[in-house]
Amino acid sequence: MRKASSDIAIQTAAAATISGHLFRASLIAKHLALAAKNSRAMVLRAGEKAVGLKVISDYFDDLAGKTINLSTSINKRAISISRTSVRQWRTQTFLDRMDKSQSRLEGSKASQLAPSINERQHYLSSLIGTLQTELKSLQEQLADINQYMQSSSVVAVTFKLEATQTGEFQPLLEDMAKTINGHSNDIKYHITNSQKQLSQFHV
Amino acid sequence: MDALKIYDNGHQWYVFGRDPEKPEKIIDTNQFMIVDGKRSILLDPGGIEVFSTMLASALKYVDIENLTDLFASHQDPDIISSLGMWDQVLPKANLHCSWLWEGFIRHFGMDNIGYQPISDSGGRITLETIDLEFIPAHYLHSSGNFHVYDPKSKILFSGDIGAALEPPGSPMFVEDFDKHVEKMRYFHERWMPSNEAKHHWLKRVRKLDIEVMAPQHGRLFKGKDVERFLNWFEELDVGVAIK
Repeated sequence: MRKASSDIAIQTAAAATISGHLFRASLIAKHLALAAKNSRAMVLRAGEKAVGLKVISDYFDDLAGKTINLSTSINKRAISISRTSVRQWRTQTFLDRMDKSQSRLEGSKASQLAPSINERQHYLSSLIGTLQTELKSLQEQLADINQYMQSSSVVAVTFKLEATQTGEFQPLLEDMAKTINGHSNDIKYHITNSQKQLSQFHV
Repeated sequence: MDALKIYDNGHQWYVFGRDPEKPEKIIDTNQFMIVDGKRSILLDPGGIEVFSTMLASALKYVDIENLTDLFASHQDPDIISSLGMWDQVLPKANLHCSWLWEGFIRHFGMDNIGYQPISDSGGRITLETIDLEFIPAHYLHSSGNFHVYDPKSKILFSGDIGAALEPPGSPMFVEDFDKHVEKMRYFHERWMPSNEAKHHWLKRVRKLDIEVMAPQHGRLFKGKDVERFLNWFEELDVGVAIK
């Protein structure tokens, strides 16, 4: 159950890195939401010519809202994982130092350290349990948001195709589809990197 | 880590230091422990790097449940950065330190140990049979700084005052004061910021009956070397970095 402090340090840095990626993803999600709202306004202005795009722009708007909420929630979870990981790191450091103290003592003096070591060992186990639960949730949420972004990219292609029938609005709507696709890819980049960082955890 | 009993008459004073396992680039520190029956206090228990050795050394002379109190003369890392470790091994202990540093010192990690703030004017603590006095030493060098005086043993724990930068393995007591002066000079000129604070402290400390003055770095002073130190310090111009 116990790990080297250096491994936990790497894991703690990974949690902080994930938090950073998700913070940036949440900022991009806000731009995505804005782009979705703009596309909706443009579709309304295009009127009858863009009637087929209304459903798609509504979908974008909904997707962007969900992405903001999910990325904010994931970011909070990543910060919580980072905190738990720091606690694990400190507890492990304490246990390592207690081992050294114990090795310098004999008999009853060494056994005086056992209650503290046992108590902290239990605490460490509970931290690892918490970390396992939080990591599982994080993995699921990252998969969800990745799925959203896959859908967003696919729908952006459809949006671009539909835009060909909107006459003078076509260039503007195509540009919006491009923007939405770009934001989706940027978010995917941060999610993929977060998923890679998860491989640093071995709990 | 060497341990030396420097007083034993009803209660005991121990000094721990000269740790051969200490990482080379960290400054050597003296840690002190006063044992009074079932209560003991660690004075400036040290940095996180010396925690393992310090704990094992202390437990050679005292049972863990009798390690009841910690004292930090100020907030520096070599004084108390081990707090997060002590906090886990001595969850029922109390830490005595200037009120000024509570919010800062908690950054070292303190979920269990109780913080007993010392007011600017000083204070005292009674262990099992003896009283210890917290003597103000503000701005020497920290803005919230205390020393510990034990009227029964006549030992003054003087924190960074009297400190010397010495090679590893040096003796625990000053043997030739005149030679020792050069090992203390720069430390006091540079680390101590205020001549006014210095004179204030000297006036206060000269009222005490001191047989041993025990700094947190370097060697301890005993007998006439205590007065020699006070006279030398009085003449020394401190706060040199801005002159």
